[in-house]
Amino acid sequence: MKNKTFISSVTFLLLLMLVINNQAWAVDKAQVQAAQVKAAFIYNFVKFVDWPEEKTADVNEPLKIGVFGKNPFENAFEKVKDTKIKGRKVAIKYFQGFEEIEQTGKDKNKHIQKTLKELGQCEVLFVCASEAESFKLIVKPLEQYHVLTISDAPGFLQRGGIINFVMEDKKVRFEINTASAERSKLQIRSKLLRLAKRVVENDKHSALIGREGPIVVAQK
Amino acid sequence: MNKARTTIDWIALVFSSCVFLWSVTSFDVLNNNHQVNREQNLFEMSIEELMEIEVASTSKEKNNIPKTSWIKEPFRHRV
Repeated sequence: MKNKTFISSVTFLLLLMLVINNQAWAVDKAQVQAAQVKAAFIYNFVKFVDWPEEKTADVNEPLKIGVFGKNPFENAFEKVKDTKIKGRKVAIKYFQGFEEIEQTGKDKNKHIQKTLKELGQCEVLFVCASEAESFKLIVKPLEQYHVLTISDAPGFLQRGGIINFVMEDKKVRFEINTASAERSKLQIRSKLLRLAKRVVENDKHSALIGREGPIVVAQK
Repeated sequence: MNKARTTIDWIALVFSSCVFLWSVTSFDVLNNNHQVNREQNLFEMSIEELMEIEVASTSKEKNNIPKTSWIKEPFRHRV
């Protein structure tokens, strides 16, 4: 009888461990999948955006997709490295975020100007959620470099970001701030705008960082 | 005493079976045909196709629009 109880207890514990392990694995897998889909979206966005001539004049220059901050994509972009879009080779660049720099004890302010110039070399820049605190330091100054800024963190559009991912019914959707795109002299094709969940056409109030306020938007 | 122990064993066994079944059904790979196959090349898909992919979002990712949204419903309109 004692044996029976023992076996039951062991079986129960093993099953419990299996469940815990299964759930942890599922969460991890979900994160990777969402990131993979977002990476594919970013790659696709390039086809629907036109940069000013000064940014595209040299066709021998690779088209740079930058990831700024704690990289959520792992090696998802490796598949498209060196492929061609719009006649240009794709290069993927990873940049250490300001938050990471701060953690290493280095002077954040010194790095900002230097980093901004490097980020400005990219055509597309994904600003990771880890850099949410630094959005205002990155996004606005990058307008002069004509960079398509993308993120998946709340409040990215009202801080001047151009495209932001949102989740809806387990599917990846995106919002576009055309006012910010115009300031960056980027032309977003109508097809992409049609597919967007929300299009912000006037973000005058977005300068009010951290404040809730009205914003004129067009929503599907 | 013995009868009580047998009852406890049975309860433990039934509970374990339920936990096992729940574990299997919650397994993402088995219960969701729309899950992304790691081998599938997402980069070859169009935006419309990507929009149809269902990803099992974590609670953190479920909806990253802030609850106290800065866009108030009454202000949402087309210009």
